[in-house]
Amino acid sequence: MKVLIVDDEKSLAEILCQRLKLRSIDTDVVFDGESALQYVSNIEPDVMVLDLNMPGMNGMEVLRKIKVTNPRIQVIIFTGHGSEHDEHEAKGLGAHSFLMKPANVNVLLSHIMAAYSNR
Amino acid sequence: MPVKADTQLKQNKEYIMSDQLKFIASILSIFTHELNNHSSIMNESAGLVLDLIEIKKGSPDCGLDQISSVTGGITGQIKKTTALVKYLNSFAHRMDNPLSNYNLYEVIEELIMLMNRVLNQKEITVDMDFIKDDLTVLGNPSILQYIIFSIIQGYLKCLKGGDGIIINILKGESTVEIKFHHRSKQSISFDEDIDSSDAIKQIGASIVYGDGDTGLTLILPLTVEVTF
Repeated sequence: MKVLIVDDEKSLAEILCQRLKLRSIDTDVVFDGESALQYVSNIEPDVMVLDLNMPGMNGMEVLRKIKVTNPRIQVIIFTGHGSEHDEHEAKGLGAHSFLMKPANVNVLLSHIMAAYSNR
Repeated sequence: MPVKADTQLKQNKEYIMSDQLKFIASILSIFTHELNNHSSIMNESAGLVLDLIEIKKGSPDCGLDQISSVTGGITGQIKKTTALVKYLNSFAHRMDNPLSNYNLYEVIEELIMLMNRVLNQKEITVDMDFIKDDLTVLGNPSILQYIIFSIIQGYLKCLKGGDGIIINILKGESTVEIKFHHRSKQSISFDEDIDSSDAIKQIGASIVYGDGDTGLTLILPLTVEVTF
């Protein structure tokens, strides 16, 4: 299983990446929406953990584009400030689940596993 | 005072109060988002330390260097959080008295630091092109912050990622000029009818709009006339 974390908060993304790797999950990290699209054009991860509020292209735009170009990627929205409206919109666009920060890494892992089995 | 003028004054005051509440709510929203990120980083960092301890238990390589690096990161994050909380606390206390002596540079810097997240999100920089010294103004710092916030919000509507706002301060005999310029690849037209125009009158300030890209200047009296 390959996981891609997309978050502009570099420290958070890198630590999450390390914690997932320690749990034997092959994880990569990028820090903005444009880099995420570039990444998936070369390597298709099974699951994407995607922040919403990012400079440049925001998470919702990334989700919208990913679901057109790479619909098999399962997307988990992982945000600090998501509203019910955001959750509704993300799920409408095809997000697998919607998780609020901060979350226990094991909770995130269970979402990743569930998303992967949904592929 | 004629009834009509009295009603108009009351409506203006209510408008300013409602708009200031929106401004405070906006600052709090930016701040809580930032604080939530800081908490998440500290939470995950602490979790990583526990992971490493668990994994390295009983191993000859106890991973102390890695643990030390992560705990150093937590300390750094706590420092950042403390600084941010200090700015918010100072911001809140500016509202204690409607009239006080305040350091103009500190008041501007505090607002910019609290707006940092939204500026970063839009990839817009703010250069505070002034030397910090003891420039004291007698007036209402909260209303000034509200006006500067409205000006910056106006810029944020027009500027694009990579653009910048430059703030200069020029002290005169009885006034101080806070000059706003922008650095942008395209020409922008600033909306002259900024939301805080009533607040500008309230602190005895005025705004002069430049031509084209020359920005705008907020002229502020160094002391306000107080009538009892």
